[in-house]
Amino acid sequence: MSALLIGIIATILIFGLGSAFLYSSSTGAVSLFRVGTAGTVGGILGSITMVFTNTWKMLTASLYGHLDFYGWILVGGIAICLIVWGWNAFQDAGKNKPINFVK
Amino acid sequence: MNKRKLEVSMMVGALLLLVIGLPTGLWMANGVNSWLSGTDTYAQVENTTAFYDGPILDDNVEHRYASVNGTVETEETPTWDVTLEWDSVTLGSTGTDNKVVFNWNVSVDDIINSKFTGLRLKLNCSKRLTVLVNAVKWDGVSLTSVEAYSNAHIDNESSTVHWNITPMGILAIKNDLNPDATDVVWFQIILEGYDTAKLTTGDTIQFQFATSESGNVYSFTNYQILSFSAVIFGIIFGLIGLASTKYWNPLGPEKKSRKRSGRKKSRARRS
Repeated sequence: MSALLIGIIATILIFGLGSAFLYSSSTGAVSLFRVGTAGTVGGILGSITMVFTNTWKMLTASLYGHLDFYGWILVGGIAICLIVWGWNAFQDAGKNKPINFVK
Repeated sequence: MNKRKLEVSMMVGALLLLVIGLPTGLWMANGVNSWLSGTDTYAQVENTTAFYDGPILDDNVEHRYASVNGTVETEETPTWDVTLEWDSVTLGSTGTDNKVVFNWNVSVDDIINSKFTGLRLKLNCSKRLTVLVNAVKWDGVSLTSVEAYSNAHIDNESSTVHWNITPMGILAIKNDLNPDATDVVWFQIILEGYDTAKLTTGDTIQFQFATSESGNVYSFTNYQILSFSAVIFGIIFGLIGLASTKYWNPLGPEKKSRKRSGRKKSRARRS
């Protein structure tokens, strides 16, 4: 699995679906879990993926500062992961190595 | 497993931890807290002191109650008695489709920082009612309203509605409102006629609103559950990130063994 593929999957999961759910939750009558409109595909998906939406909201709350310093610890931990993985990929590219995590 | 395979495993693991582990952890923390709490205790919300009496409508009219007929808001002067468990309001508005709005003087932060686990609404009316709970923000210029609880209908008899408050749920409401420090935030409990049974002049609603909260001093507040989860998962993610650097290799001994095996191979090639 290449870094590019992992990055694309992570981006779709974290930003793509998150944005879609937030958008769908802001329109019309909300579904059982407040995600997507009731009876729509978005609503059904939202109900199934409630846990994911909660992740998104927890991150949003941390970025808004609603959890004070504790929220920044969560954001910082995730940022460390992203920075390290990005740096590793950058180093591989600098050494003219393929950016593959598994050879 | 070499360091790179470990790194991929950690990336996948971190992603799963983020999208599944974090909310599951919050859910479990809340569950453990409920177990610690034991039986919740109910406290009646005292109307005269607990209901917000500041500006609640766009025209800054000060009142505790409002009945809304379309776009026209009318001040109500209900009959009630706080010395009884049940209070009541009789609509004086001449409209044909009224709403009764109770303003609960509790902010989102108050709930987050408390051990509230729910709001219990006991209602008695001759008509079927729809119950809504909205979180409201007044920034001095305009009102912002976010739905906190909905989809509850009660029949034309004594019924009880529970709005179960979870740490994640109340945090989501705060996200949606995103109030500044100077904003006034409170909750509105809105009752209106369900379907064709609209509230009209002379209709009487009996009500009793109570909060449920943990009676155990050793249980945690909603904020403590959220912040504790954020810290724990932040540290875990940080450690995963550090394990991906060259400064800390959790597979250190294996690295040495790989070197040894490499030497053995080179010796074999030479011979």
